[in-house]
Amino acid sequence: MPENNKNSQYEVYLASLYSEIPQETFSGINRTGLPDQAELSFTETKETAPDVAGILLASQCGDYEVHSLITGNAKNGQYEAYKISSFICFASEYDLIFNSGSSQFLLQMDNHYYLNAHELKQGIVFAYLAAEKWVELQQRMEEYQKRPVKAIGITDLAAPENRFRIMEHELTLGYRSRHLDAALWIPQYHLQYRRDAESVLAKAAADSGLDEVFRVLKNQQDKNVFFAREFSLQRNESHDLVFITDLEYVGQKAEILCGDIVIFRGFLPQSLVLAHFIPLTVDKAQLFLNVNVRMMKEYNARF
Amino acid sequence: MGFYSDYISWLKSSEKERDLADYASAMWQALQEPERLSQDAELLYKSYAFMQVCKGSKKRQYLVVYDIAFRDHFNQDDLELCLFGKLIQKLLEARAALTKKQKALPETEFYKYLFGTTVIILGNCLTELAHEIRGAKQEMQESEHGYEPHKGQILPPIEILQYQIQVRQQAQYLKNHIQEHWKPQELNVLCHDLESSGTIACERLRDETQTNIYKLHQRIREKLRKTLYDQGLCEEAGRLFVGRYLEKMCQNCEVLSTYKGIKKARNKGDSNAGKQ
Repeated sequence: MPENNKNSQYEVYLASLYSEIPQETFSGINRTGLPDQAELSFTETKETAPDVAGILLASQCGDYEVHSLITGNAKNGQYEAYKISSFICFASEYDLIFNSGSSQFLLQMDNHYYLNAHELKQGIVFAYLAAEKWVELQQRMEEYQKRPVKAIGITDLAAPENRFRIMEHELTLGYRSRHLDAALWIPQYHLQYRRDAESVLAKAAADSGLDEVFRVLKNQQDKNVFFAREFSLQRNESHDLVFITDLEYVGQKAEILCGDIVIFRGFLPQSLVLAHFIPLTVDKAQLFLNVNVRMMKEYNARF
Repeated sequence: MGFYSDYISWLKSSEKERDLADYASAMWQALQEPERLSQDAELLYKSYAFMQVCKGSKKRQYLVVYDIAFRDHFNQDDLELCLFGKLIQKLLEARAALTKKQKALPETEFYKYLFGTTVIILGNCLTELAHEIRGAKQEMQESEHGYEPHKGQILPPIEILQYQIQVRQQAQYLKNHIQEHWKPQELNVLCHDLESSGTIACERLRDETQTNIYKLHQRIREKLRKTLYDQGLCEEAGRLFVGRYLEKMCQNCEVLSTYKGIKKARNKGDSNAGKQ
């Protein structure tokens, strides 16, 4: 798709995130109506609607309306959900595209979370998958999880398709941040490092400047640990990159950021996995991830 | 009088009775019997008014899509029709889930729920329209990324295609192009091809042999395919043209009993060529 088309689709996407309270009948455009003698005909379906698995649900997550596919896999009374979007033009290697009736959606395999029964009840079911379509999609999801992801996307985080992806994860941050046993979603890791590790590392080293590199080398004796005031980064025996909260800050409300992108928002747990099996020393990982913490002081002051 | 002026007159006359619940109730009725939208003007106006209220919730997105459509010279009324058509179609697809809610909720609460559902679906319809306007959907099918969204997929029926704005515009262009550039005897053959598939006896090409008719059909289909290709139109536009516009064109196309006879008449310089 040409770049200006991607930009205009991204403009549509941003506008789609807003819903307003309507005032009477909309009259933003003059003299627009249906064409004269328009023919109206439709196809009808007799499929029954499932109760949970296979429904497409709109729910409210903080300020955002989140559209999900509910898989029905329950865990501690919560239901597994995957973020979906009708903006199929931004599909990447992390997505599956599926049809529901006359609509197409992209299913973000890297953007999943759990909804509780109350959220499920309060949500709006705006579409659903017929039984056989649901079985078919489940198979595709299983196949996807078995095969390695073949990187195809570009690494520029400012590109419309990557801005879309970052925003989609921002929408679900409230849901994902309460799901502490999964690795966090980090744009610099998933959209840059996994797509083109060498140039990302080279660029990070160049961006940080020689002074910074010398400072890191001098301060960090152990390349597998990085210390900051509120946290430390460590690599465990499984090569997971782990964020360890300083005891003083455990339980406080904060945002964890990579660069200026928020990847976690909530009460800081004792530890969080940032990325699984990262074949890098911690100092190198920190060079391109630039993990930092922003304490949400106003919130903490109230407690 | 056209749709717009009739709708505005109705809206003004019903000013005192304007009630969202009334519009929502009409929309729910329309979803039970969608064919009534073509027969009952008041039901159509109320359902359309319901969409207009919901559109206010998606005002920002609508204005961006409208602006893209305007810049790309799409007809505004066609944009409205595609939006309305898509909305009803997708609400019909969600009808079973809506029915469950309707049984579980008091009437007012259900209408609120219907409003919320309509707003969400309307947003998805606007996204789809934006893709269609900029050709994003077609490109998705051609891309060689790691996904195969259209493998083994059944072609969408005319009821769905007619609300795809780019396909609709291309089908209308094809109709005009054929009207302007095709010879009457060629259109006669195309109409015979369409009409002879029905049960009613077709008077066109009555004096031609079956073998000739077979060849004429083959040639005319090839010409239609070539026209699509030469004019840069998609296959769906051809399908929509045949499914929606050709029948009306054929109603106004003179019935010719032979193909060759027309040619002879023309060679003789007969200005009424084609009339037999």
